[in-house]
Amino acid sequence: MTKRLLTILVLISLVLATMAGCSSATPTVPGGDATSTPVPTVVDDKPVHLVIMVPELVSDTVIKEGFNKIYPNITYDCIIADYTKLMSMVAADNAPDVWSVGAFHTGIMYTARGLFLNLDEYVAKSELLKKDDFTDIEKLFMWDGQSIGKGSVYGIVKDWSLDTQLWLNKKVFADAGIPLPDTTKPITFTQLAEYATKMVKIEDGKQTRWGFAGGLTMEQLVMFQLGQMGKSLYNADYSTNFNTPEVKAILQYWVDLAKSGGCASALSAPADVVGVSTFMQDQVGIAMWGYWYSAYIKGNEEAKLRLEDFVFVQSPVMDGATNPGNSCIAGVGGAVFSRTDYPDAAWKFVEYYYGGPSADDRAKSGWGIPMLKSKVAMMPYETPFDKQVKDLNDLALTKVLPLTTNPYTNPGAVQAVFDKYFNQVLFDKMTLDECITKMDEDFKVMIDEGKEIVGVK
Amino acid sequence: MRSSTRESLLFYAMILPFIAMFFAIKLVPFVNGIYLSFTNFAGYNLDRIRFTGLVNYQRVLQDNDAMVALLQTFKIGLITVPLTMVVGLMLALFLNRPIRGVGIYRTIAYIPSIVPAVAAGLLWRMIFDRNSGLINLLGSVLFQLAPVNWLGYDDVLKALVIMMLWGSGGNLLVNLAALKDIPAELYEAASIDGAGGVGKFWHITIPMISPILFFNLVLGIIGSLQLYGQAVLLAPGGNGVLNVPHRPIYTYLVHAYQQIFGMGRYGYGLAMIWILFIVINLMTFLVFKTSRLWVLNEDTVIRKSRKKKHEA
Repeated sequence: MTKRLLTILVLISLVLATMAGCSSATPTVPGGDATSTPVPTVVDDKPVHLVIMVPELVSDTVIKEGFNKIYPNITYDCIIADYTKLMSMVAADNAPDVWSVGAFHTGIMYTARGLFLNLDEYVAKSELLKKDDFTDIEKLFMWDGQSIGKGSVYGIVKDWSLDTQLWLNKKVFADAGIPLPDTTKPITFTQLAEYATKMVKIEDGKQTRWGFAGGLTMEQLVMFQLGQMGKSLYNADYSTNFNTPEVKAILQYWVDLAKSGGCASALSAPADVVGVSTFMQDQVGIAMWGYWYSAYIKGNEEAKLRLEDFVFVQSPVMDGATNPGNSCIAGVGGAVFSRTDYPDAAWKFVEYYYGGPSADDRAKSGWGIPMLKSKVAMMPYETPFDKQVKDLNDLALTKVLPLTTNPYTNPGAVQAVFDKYFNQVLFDKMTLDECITKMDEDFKVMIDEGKEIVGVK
Repeated sequence: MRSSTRESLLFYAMILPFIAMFFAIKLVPFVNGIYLSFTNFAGYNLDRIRFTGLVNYQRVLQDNDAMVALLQTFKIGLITVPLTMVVGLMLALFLNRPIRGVGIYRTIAYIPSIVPAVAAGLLWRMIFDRNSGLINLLGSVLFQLAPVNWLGYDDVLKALVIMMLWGSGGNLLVNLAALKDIPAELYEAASIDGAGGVGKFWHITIPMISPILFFNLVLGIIGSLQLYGQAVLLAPGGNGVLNVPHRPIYTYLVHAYQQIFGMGRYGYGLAMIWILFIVINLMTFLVFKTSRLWVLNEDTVIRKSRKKKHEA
């Protein structure tokens, strides 16, 4: 082979390799037909290819086949939901067509910024997602340009829980010598601190058991506790209301509990930080998770053999609360990107996934309270465990304390601000007053910037 | 076609894929990043983006958190760069000997540097855990020491330094190559002149490998100023990549990342990154400028021999 011919062959292969490298840069997920290029068209019966960001892979064959029986022209690729990846895609003007987002804060944040499509017309014509079948939780995705809970629908809540409810580990209570409280009545925050402190176990200088852990952020806890006292972290115009004796008292409560080792914190935390697994391993006595956690327990190989050790109770109550109740501070939902090229096709997916057969399956699985009234009766109620959980959940649903977040802040940023200053208080590097002042300053800037981006004065 | 023209065309054709990739992956985002740093870009307002001039850059200099983070980054670099260079050199000196199984030892020493940073960070996070970590376990079992909160505010900087020292073997290959490049005759001549081990080390080894030390120093400074992943991985958990490390390891790039992906201040975050770029260039320039004083190269040898000749 001549040198010249060899050179030409090398050049061709280099160019081909470069082209192949470029074309394989599309997202690849198992089960998805990821390498196919989207076919750009918006006509109903022409092939449409969507990109969907979801918390779990919706490439499940059953869903895909069911969906494609009705809409054979619509195919989709899935990307696992990841905030940083999503923001990168949005910044590159390459956002997914359908997004899965947290309903309580993230969803409304995107809605306020004009990233979600107004779904009123679609909902009005839908057979699966009818407005009179919506429970009040759907208000998390309603926005009129000024307030959450009013105006048009911008997303669909998939399922939710009253996240401030508690799970008690009977074994830990017994081991700590604490009589199990009446599970039909809520405990107070004072009792919670007392029990949590008693549950602390230190062996050879190492903490092996914590009293309390959970998935709520400090901001969410403060909002909930203030809400029970008829107060709010934010004013009606969403400006901050941090520098109050109530906020200080609540934060001091958590500082004291953290320093006693009673709750998971930056000072000391179980291996999984928030107690989602360590609660079932008897390393945490009281966990703050909602109804969905029952499915998590039932799915755990060891925990499912001892379901009688775990009991679901109502949310703790502030001493002197004027609005004792249980709140949703999470929930998951889906929405259509406002600048999608395929709004109709994207809506069809949302409608099918959030209102169709897979919604029935999710309701029966016990992984959350369905948003749709017609699905609530499908929630599991067979075993004694299911019955205890559902009955308690129904009791809690009679006393719902609705909370609203701030649509001009980013939940990740909010937590980062709390972590930045509150952790310093825990380590005695800052006083609580300084912490509150600095958080207030950072929040003011964040909210002003958020309002500027949204176009609100 | 003339053969020189053919050769030139062949050259450009051969590097064309690299040029294309460089433009697409490096240069275009590079220029776009500079442009966006002068705007109010928030990630999703491309349709109503506004040019803000130098506002973002001024804000960086007035942002107390950014300046404190930059100082903290310098502080971490002042500790980790010399330490990793010294440990790396010591490892190379030890592994340059003809000892049995030296190949295995070299492999063991080099492995930490090829472990992915995230995996290493998670591993060290478990090792440093106050309640279940290996370090506290060994400390209590072997020395009856009370557990240390390695990931707590007061000790997390030490944890970070230990973690970075673990990767000191990354320079092993270049250090070994430099050591092997030293002519043995120099050591022989020094031995004849009565020089001991320390003398040989200071007057032969160090000068002869000074170009590699310089190389490691420059890369070490650049790496330390870009510290991000390790700090986030040692941060109190719950917020994923938006975890906020404690102040002692709250580095400049952590702050920039928080601004971009946490606060949505893309323009401001990009301005922070460009200022870091300038700082890195300045630091590198300073190191290059000082190199003529301590790095042995052909010019230094010629200059010194001319000086001696002149004095003679």
